[in-house]
Amino acid sequence: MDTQNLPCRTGTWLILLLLLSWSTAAVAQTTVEGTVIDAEAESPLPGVNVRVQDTQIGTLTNSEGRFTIELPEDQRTLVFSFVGFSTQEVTVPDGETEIQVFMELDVVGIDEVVVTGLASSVKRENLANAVTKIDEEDIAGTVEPSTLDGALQGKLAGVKITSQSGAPGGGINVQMRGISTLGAGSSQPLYIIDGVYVNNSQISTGRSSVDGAGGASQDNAANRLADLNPDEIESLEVLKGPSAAAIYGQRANAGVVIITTKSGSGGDTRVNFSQDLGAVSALNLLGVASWSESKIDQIYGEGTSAAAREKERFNEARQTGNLTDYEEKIYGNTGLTRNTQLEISGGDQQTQFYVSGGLKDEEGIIENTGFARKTVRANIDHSLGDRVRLSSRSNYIYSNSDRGFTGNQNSTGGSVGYTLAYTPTYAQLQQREDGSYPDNPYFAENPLRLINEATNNQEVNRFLQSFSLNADLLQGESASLSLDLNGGLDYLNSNSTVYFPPFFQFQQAQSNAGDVIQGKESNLSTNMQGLLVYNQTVGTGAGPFNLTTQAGFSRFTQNEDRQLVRGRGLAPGQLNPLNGQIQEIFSQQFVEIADIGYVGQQEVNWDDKLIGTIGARFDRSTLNAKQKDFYFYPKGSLAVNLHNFDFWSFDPIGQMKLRTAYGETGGLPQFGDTFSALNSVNIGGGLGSTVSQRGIDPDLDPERARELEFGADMSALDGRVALEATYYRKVVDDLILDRENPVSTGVTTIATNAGTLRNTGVELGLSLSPVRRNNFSWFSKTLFWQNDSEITDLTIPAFTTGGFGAALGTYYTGEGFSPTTIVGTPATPDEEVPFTVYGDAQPDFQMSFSNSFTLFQDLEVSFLLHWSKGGDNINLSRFLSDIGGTTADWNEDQDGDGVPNGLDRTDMFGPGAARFVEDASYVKLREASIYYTLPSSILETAFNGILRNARVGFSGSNLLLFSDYSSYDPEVSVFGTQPVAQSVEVTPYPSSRRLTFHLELEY
Amino acid sequence: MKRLSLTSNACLIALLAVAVTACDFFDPDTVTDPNSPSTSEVLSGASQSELQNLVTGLESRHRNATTGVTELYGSFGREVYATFASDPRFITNWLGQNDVTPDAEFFGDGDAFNTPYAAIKQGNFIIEAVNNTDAVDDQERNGYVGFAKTIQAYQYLIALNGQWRGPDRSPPGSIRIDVEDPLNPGPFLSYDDALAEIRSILDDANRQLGTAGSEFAFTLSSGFAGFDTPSTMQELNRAIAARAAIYAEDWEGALSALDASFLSLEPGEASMNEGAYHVFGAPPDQFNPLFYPRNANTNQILMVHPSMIEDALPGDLRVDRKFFRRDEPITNGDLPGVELFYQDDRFESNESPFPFIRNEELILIYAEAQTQTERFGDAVDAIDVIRETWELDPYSGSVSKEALIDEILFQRRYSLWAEGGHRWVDARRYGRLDEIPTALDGGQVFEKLARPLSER
Repeated sequence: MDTQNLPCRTGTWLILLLLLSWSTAAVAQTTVEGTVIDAEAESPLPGVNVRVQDTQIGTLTNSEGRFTIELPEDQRTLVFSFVGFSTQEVTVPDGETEIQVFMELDVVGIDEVVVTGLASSVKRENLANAVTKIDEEDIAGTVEPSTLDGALQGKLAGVKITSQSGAPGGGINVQMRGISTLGAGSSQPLYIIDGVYVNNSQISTGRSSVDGAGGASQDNAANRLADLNPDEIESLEVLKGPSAAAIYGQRANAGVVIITTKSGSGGDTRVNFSQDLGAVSALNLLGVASWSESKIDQIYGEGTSAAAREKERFNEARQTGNLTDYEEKIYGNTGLTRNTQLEISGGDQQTQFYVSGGLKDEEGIIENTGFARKTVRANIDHSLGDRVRLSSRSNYIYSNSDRGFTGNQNSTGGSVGYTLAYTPTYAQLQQREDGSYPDNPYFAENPLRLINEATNNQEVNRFLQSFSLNADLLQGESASLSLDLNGGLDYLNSNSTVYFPPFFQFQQAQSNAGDVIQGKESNLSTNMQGLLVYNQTVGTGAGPFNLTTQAGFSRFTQNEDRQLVRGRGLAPGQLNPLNGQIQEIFSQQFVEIADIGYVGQQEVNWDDKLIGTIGARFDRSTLNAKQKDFYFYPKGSLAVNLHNFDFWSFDPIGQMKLRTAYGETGGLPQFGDTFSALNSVNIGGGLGSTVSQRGIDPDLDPERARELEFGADMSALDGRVALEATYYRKVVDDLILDRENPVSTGVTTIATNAGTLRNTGVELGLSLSPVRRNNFSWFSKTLFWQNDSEITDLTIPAFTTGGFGAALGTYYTGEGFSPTTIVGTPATPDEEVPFTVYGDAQPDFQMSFSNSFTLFQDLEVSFLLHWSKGGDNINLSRFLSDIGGTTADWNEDQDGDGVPNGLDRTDMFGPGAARFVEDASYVKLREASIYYTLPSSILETAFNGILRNARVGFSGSNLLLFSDYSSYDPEVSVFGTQPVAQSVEVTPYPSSRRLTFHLELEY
Repeated sequence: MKRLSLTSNACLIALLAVAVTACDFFDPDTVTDPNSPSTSEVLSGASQSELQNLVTGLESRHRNATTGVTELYGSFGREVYATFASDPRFITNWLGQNDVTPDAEFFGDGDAFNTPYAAIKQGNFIIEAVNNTDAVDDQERNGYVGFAKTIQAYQYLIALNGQWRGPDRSPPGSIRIDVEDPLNPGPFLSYDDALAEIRSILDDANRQLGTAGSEFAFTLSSGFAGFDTPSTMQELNRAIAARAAIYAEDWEGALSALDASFLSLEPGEASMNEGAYHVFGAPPDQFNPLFYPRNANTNQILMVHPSMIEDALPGDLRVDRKFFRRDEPITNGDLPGVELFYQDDRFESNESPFPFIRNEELILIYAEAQTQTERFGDAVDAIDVIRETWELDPYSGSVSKEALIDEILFQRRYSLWAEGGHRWVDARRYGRLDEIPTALDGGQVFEKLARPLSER
């Protein structure tokens, strides 16, 4: 037998281990009642989770802090946990049936459990990494986020989260600890929900082909994380860099986000119902310039017939009072949002369930845009005896987005914002009485007709399913062996329609009027893993050693099938491409990927004083050029809890931990980059093969990130003050870059390992709980983070990338520079950098400041401020509106030279791209909310005790923006999710402010 | 401790173990490109049909640069204005407004460099494939190589046109000719050396076509009708050689190349339009991108430069044939005060073919070479073939080299309007870039493009 078959045998053994026998024992039960009290405020605590240790038996305290629970015969220890408080274990003495429990505040969250291995977790107190854990309260607890990634803005130190536009339904770029790849690997974190690898791609709809914008990156499609319902999420953990995420190996270079959905607990069945109603409106409208005869002369040329014609149009509109602020007309609407969530959870000792349904419907500020999502979830946990736990998580999602047409276009007029830039106030574009629209003399389409008659729709049907099995194979006094099997799938089916009817202005100007692209994608990802975990406690003279060993296997596959079918020259009203004069398979793409990994990890915990971990992962993937080669990703970490040593006697500081961690992860090449393809073309009825202009490098390796992290965690004054400080140094080697080969060779790009990128940064978090009284408490959290990126080594010639070329600002990849350096004309052919350097897309630092206050126990107020300092955008919106004469300040003359700003700026175009690069600093009031919990007395009298809890609230997202940026919002990206070209603006969908009323009822 | 009781489940275990632990579970198969054939399959042991596909692919690559250089070089030579309002740079940068000059990342110049070299790569790929297969015999092989090299030479000329030697004639290098090894391309040759190399590629191709038998082993599209055998392909080859010869100012060379080409001094539109064409069609083929519906209400359209109308001789039939007067003019924000009334009228539909070399050009090359070699009578006869065809009176100007060159360049402006940018190249050949009108747009006429950044 050769070694190749060894893994097969291993698999057989895993299956054997799966088939364990078990038995359930009947046990006698006793009932315990009690009250949970906030030790400091001396008031009862509702909603505390009460569980019998090592079982799934659990309940929650009611509005008076009371609980009732059944104890099995052999277990008398109860575990009390509640967000913001230290978890307590209380052993109920024999014969006792009534207990009182006092819970202490826990600002630092040292009792939180954080996942550190594929099948193990560790108390935060013992953690060696800066892992951020976010609970439901911070995800969808106070505001109503549209998407999960959007809900995290400003809440994660070290993470840059940017919206690409204000279009409803998401579209968000998440970068953890700076830039992880320059475009070859995944620039976005790996999201894992209940063990399932989430497909977070942006599915091409062909929009940018119908409107002529260019490549699929300008489709303005949302990343598919938008499908997840934030209301169903219990918590998420963010492993920001390789030192924490190494155990996820080759897919973890950009970080890992582990999402856990809610689950039921034994006891009474609970019904939670929440209803949100809200309104969105434009955050920041810019205004439009007015017109005059002299301005028409300046633009159209004095004495020309064009100027005469425009003056006639202008005067007629002025006299008839038909001047229109089209910006206000198009972006000035208020959209309604509603969100309904119903959750039923409960169960018994053996089986617990959580079933939920959610309905979301959001309108955008542009008419006929919006996002709707319907979700159903069933989470079931079951104990087979006391040795085996099974769990199933099922989630069906339907989402439907109409994102409209904004951003870039070419030729077609297929962008509202782009068209707007050229449309003067005296243009007459209003709908006629017969329902038709006049053509737009100033651009290729009437934006009002575009909004009302064009379609850009994407529907996604999606099913996420995970199963897990956890079995105690051996359980002894000081050692245990368990098996952890986990598998899941993510099936996604997308249908998109992008349609311009034949009567459109630009369509009429073509030989085959009417254009539709119907897109279909089906995508199936599966993943599974099996691990054995051996736990052993060794008592020594110096205290106990706890050893946890785990080893296992993981497997991931992905199959994608995407097709875009196009029809042009359409019959009126027909969206089926078969009704077109020209029918075309516009694109058909298959993707097949399989990954295999082996993993092992050893943890050593000496009496909670020193906690060390080493681990390794061996990964291979069919995305690699060497598909059968395994790559090795090690990790190691050490945490030192100084406060647990005997010598620590400084009482005010209750916790003092020093920690360091090192880890390596990988970044895989993009699918297709390792294939040398012949592309098919058709000409004159013949099928041709053309040699791809992409060359291949047979020695291509995956990217490898090595991260070293140091930190200290401290908490003082009984947890009222907590400080977390982290420094990291993440070095990405073997960067896969498209080596720009001399174009004259006909091979223009070769993906090759060509450089090293270094990110260094600091993350600070300060939590304060200055006041905690019965009638007033205040919790505050301040985060600061900063990252520097630099390409420290580049083995290929420096190059520019992204944007629309040097004349309009582009990005420079060169040794010694940040990869997001912005350069542009004038060219400096004799210098090291061949263009003028203007800035950097990445901010100098970011800060956030969140506060929550509780008044009289039932009134909660909170807000979150987010400051991003520095960082530059390439803003091309004003470039267009200056040409169109519509920029709000076009007519003003700031430099007093007698020439209006608009013409001054247009004249600056020749000398260089300087005028397009703008500082993108901002301060945003991201979230603010106020909630009132109805007192239990009212619940008793008014609702006859049927309601356990009732809460009403009012919240706002994206409430205020302070920025000198000249356009709608400095958070913007016309190219969607991008590692490098992430800050280019072309007439985006303006950002909106959202105000929401909330009602939450618990039965 | 519990004991494992496996025996009772033995059958089930065996079944599951077999089902789940199939070996590709732990050792997945290698993934091959599910979307396209791979180059390596064709590079050795290609079949006849694979070679045919490569030839058709070369025809497609050969077509790609045409539109772009017609627009770009056409704008440089003020044959056209590319009033594509979606991107202001079609006007501001291409016309050199506000002192913009070409740089290494100049806007929209890919078709002047990248695209012709993509066709050249395809040609080299065919040559490599055909040299590594037993599916063809030597004669057939010569046919493939001769065709590929002829097209390559044509494409080299497009790239070379963008990289002029400059006025000082002491060039630091214009383009590369040796690009066979993508990782180790040859040097940049001076303009004159590069041109000499291109001409020698044409001569090699001509020789190989001469030993390629009477039929090609492959078929070509209808665009090559009349040039689809080795001997007729030689006539096309010589036509391209004549064009290269006048660039090199080798007038005798031009005349001898014309001798072996498809030159015909027959007057009439049909004779003028004899030649080789790029064909277009509905998807999956491509539409003719230079076709615009008449009177289309759009701001994205290639427009005739007003000087073409103003300078035209009365009654010139070419104005009628090529230019369509719109009801409503086209304006552009970066051309203040300019109203453009004329659009391209050459194409019946978006599937009409576009010529890449035709007899009318050969006649004018003939006239130019005869003038330069001071055989003025032959030159005037050729000029009159053109004039007669387009319903102009016979040439009556002075019969001197200078006057005849003026006349020939004028005729070339109208006969070869918007067919790849002849006017800019011609004006440069004769040092007349300053005659190209820029007053209307306030820009400048560039002498050449910059070398792309990737070539530095």
